Amino acid sequence: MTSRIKSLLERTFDKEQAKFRRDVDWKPLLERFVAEGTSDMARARIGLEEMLKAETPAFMDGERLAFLRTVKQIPDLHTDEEMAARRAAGTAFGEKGVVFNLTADFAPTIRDGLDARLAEIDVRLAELKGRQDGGSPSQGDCMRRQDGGSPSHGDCMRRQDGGSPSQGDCMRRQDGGSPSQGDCMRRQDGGSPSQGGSNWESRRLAGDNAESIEFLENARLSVEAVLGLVERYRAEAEKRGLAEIAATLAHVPMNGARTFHEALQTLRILHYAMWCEGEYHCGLGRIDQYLFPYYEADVKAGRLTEETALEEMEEFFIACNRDSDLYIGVQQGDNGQSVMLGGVTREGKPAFNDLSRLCLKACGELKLVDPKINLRVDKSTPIEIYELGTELTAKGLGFPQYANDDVVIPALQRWGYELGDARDYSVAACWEFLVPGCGMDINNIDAVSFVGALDRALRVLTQRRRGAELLFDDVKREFFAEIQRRADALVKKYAHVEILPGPFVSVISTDCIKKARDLSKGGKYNNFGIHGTGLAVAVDSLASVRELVFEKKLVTLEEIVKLLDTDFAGRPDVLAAAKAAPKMGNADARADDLAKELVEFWGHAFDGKRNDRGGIFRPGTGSAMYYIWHAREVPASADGRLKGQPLSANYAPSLDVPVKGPVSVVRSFTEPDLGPVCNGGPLTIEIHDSAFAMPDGVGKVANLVKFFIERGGHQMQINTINRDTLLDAQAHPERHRHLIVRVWGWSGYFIELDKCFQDQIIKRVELR
Amino acid sequence: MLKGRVFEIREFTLQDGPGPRTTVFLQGCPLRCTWCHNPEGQEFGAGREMTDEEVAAEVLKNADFLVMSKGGVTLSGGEPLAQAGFAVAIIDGIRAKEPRLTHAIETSGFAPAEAYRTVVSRLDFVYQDVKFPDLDGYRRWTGVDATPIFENIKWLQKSRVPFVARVPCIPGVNDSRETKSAIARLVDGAPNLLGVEMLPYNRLAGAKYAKLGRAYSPGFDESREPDVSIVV
Repeated sequence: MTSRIKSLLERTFDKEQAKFRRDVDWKPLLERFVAEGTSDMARARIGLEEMLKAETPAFMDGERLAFLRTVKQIPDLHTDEEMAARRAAGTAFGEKGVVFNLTADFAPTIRDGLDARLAEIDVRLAELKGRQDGGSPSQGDCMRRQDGGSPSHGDCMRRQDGGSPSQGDCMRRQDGGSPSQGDCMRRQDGGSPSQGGSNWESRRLAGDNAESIEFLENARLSVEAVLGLVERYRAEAEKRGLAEIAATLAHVPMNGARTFHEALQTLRILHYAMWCEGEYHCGLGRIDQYLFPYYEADVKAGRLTEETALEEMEEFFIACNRDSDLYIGVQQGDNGQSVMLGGVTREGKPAFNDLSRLCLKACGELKLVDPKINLRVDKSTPIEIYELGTELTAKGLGFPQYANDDVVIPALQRWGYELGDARDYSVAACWEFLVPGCGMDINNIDAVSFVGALDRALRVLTQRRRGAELLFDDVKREFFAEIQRRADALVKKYAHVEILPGPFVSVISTDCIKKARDLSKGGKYNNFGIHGTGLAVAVDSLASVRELVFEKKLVTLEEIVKLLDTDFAGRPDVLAAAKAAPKMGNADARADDLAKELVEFWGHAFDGKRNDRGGIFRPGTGSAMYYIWHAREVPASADGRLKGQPLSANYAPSLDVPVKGPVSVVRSFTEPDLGPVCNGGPLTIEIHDSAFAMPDGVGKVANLVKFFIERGGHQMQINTINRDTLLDAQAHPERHRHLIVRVWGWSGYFIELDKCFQDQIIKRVELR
Repeated sequence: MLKGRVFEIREFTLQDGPGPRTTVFLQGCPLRCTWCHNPEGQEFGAGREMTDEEVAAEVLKNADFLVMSKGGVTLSGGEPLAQAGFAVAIIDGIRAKEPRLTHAIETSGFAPAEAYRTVVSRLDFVYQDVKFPDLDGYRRWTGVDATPIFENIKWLQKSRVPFVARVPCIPGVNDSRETKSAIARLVDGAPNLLGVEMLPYNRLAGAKYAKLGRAYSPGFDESREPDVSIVV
């Protein structure tokens, strides 16, 4: 690490950048929106404009990549009352209602520059306005005009270098046909499987011209707002003698990036602007793929060495930590700044490259929580790549999180994703699989509590029939029926979901300009993901019921249900037997067979169901933060978990369960067929930090990951922790500022977590 | 089929030999090291009775992983050589079913020469404890006459079985420069010696005694950091 990077790293970690920040009261703006009845689209654009106007160009000493947040708050665009009224009128929203939890299509805009997007907007606007005036050009006209036309370009003056390379770039791309162009045409012809036949599609085809024009006009102004701030940054840099930054900002992001450095600067600005528009959990996607051409060209031309490339990457990664304390999440660190490395190309060729390697190395040196690294692997991935990943695990970063192409790509295909798109998958924020750019999926829209469903099922069953007549199959049947009821209820709840517009993110997402439609109105994929919480606790409880009630006949089902409400009061024998019953994670078929059945049922619980955007519902094995929330809704469970004890996060053995070790855990958790539950949700395991005391610890743990992948696991993350350190960090947080843990799908600083999240992590290792 | 006593079979042990391993902890130890961090393994007759076939079957459940990762099985204890026949049956049983696993042992070396040679000659790798360079230290701190230990170490040095000498560094007991130099001189020179590992005293050892209802009185200042520096 160079001394410049070391200094930037330390000062960023110490939040030196906070000195540039100020509070802005956005209430007057919101009041204006309400008073004037401003449309959603205009609010989004005005919010971004005002936000960026309020920003002040600021630079940290020694940085070469500019842009940092100086205004703490992002404008609220709707009042709580307005949102409540819409909900009351039958509209559902995902979380805050805005575009979130996804990754834009950064590559084309890094390549072409924002001026090219403006030019495209102008072409579409002219065409749509022409249509409004009476003409109705055919699709052929549209294409011809894009090829040969000369779109108006009012703001050439703004560009420093005067030239118009973006225009050329734009045309070249349209002539040559990038993959997304091809996709676009194909889709227009046939439609993707997940969209066909829905009322959403017909509404879309009806084509509201005025709405399209409103979108394009606001999109244009959004881009202008971003470029306005870029120009202020450039001027300020020039004024302060920051010649390199000034020169960079004179070219990008207006024009296509010519160097790796310019590509990173453009990415930094686009990503920053998304957050300013109000999007959150904005992932970065496959940076080792879309930045590779710039890296490779620079290396070939001698502009970049391995050392300077590492320095560039490290500065960019540090920048990801600069504003992240302002990025909202359930907990600090839950900000969705994920990166996906490796895997295969859209054509199916191995994609892990020198830049993937460089990214891993940069993260290993920096030891920061952002960006959160994901690594795609498959059965042919050599052990060396797992070892590179495990080097980060050894440093206790909680990442990489691994995803298995052998499972995920076919799973996405089965769900209607085209092969090229499926091969291009990344993660949304934590672990929800998403195709960057064209996926407008809401991958975490809600969750089903398996533990809650089982509790309910046991009660329903014992009220309905006498225990003596019951068979264990009846318990399973009722449990699955309850899961189905809950799944159906979610389908109904999210029958009509609205997403608030994001004109800027639309500009940098696939085909929104072409379709003259905001991303929030639908992307190529519009699926909803549903988490499943407490899977292991539910499985263990079922195994316990089977053993205690139906095999050993120690208690009746009625008695168990009563004991759940009293934390097994008066029956320590039943509690002990429940705790001793088979548990998932010990490679014990008496629990694992039930896991297989549950996962299979869950994987098909939404078959045939669609949302009104034509999307499907994707079940997953993730828990998000529901592992804390859902635990509060249930009493004790039949596995011996007492009331108030948390559930395990994601796909992991129950807490308080002694397991033989990680090999058995991997074995148990790869017994089910995980393809049908590929919304995401990693096997989460904890490894004691002493595992890496010996130098060959990395190779050994890497083999464990490889074993998981070879057995058909879908996703896995590893926490390297030491319980004593965690306890000491609770007592003396000031001594552990750098201590990182993996929480549910992200790495965060342990001392910044709420105690319930801290305690849950400590519990994960109590018996291991 | 032989019966023996086992107090734990732990999977994915990372510090017990090449590759990830499954470690079988055999019950019972003739030594009484005052710092012992596995006191639950000391008493003969405790633990769980298992047949060699059951132990082998348990280990072989993870054979696919162990083969893939070039790992194997390590017998530990207790003193595994106190159940030498059982140990041999386990090793042979596993090897017959899965020859690709490597076999290792962690031993104090306190065993009759024949038992030592029978087991060790079957192994791919040995962790040989060397706690003291002389009989006095052993007598005072472990309660045994260590003559067989030194004889077995001599035999090991002439065998072809690769070994690592492990020195538990106990503060004020054997971590002086003189003691460590003497230990180093004792093991040095064997072509099959892969290295010497200094293991710092495990401060958490005391906690296990309370659980067993036993007093922990190691007889040295356990608060002092042991000197684990390697003497050349």
